[in-house]
Amino acid sequence: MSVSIKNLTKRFGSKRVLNDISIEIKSGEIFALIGPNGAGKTTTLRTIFGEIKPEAGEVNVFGKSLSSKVKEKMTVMPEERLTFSRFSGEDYHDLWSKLYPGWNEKIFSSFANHFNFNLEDKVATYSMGMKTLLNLALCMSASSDLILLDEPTQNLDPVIRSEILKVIKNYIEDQENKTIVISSHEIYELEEVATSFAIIKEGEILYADTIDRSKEKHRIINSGEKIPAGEVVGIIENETLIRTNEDVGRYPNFKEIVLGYLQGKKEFIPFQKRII
Amino acid sequence: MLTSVDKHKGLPVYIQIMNMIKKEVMLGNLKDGDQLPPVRELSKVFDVNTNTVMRAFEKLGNEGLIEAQHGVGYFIHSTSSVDPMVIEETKKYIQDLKKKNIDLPMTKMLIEEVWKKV
Repeated sequence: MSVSIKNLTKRFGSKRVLNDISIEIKSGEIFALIGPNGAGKTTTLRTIFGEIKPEAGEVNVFGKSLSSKVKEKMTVMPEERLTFSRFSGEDYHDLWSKLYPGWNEKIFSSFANHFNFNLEDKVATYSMGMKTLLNLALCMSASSDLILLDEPTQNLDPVIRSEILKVIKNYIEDQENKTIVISSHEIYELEEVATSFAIIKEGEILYADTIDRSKEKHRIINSGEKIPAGEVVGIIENETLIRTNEDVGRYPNFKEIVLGYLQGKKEFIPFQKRII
Repeated sequence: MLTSVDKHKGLPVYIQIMNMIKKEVMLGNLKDGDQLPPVRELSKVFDVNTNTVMRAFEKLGNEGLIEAQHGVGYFIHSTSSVDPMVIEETKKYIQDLKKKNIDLPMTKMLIEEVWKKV
């Protein structure tokens, strides 16, 4: 197990941000943490790398509690990206290559060459896409066994998005025992790269599984159809997402599963035509 | 032909893989005793992780369509439940439709509708 979170609870002031959440992330996986803004995705990531301490619960990485030794094998790309205003790309390179014992210069140069990093320039002047790519290059050159990516494709153009997704997939597929955790709400993108996921809302995990198994365990049926044995998860337009073992209706796609859980059974149709 | 799966479909990816292999057997492109490419190679072709390919193989094994030879690989098994006559019948049916100028998207729609009703 790469990451194991047990019964985590975190409050900011009187607000409970994480409410008794538990997640298991296997090594070799690309794990997606999905949920609306403010659901607790970033807070969960921050507790994994030890930036914030939970009130209750336990976080284990590679089967151990967090220590500087464990942190040598994990890297993080925070949502706000790099923040030292006076640091050039070269400064970041120097800092990271000294911090991480597994630093691989060859990987960093291949990123720098392919994406034409201007290493002499201050990173603060980089575009959002370039900042993200540099950050990703730093994480991957550190030979981390666990990489945490907070909204890796947010505000990026489609070409850079697809480059980033390709690199993420390649990191996991062509190396043994690496794990990447991504927080995002780009459902379509996540479906292309992720193997497992958890849906988080208001600090609680609503559902967690592998993508393939989640499709197997759910069905979509028309609102007119008879609801079979199983649990009604949510309503998506004219259809209902149910969790069942019966082979009825049709398989849901990933978006329908996520929407079903996040929306639940509440319907909002403000402009419905009235039939007199 | 074995191609990459469609991850955005509802149909679980491992079932898409099973279907592709069954289709190859029906078409006669994979025959009794043929060895399947290594799992690692197939995971690239299907664009999935190796666990997913293994899962598809496990299910195909349960259905008796493929056999694992320990340390060697996976082989197509002869007495499969897949009937090669299906292709002959499909050919005749498609030729009829083509004569009536019915194209592929329309054929797919018709098959889907009729499938649900028969």
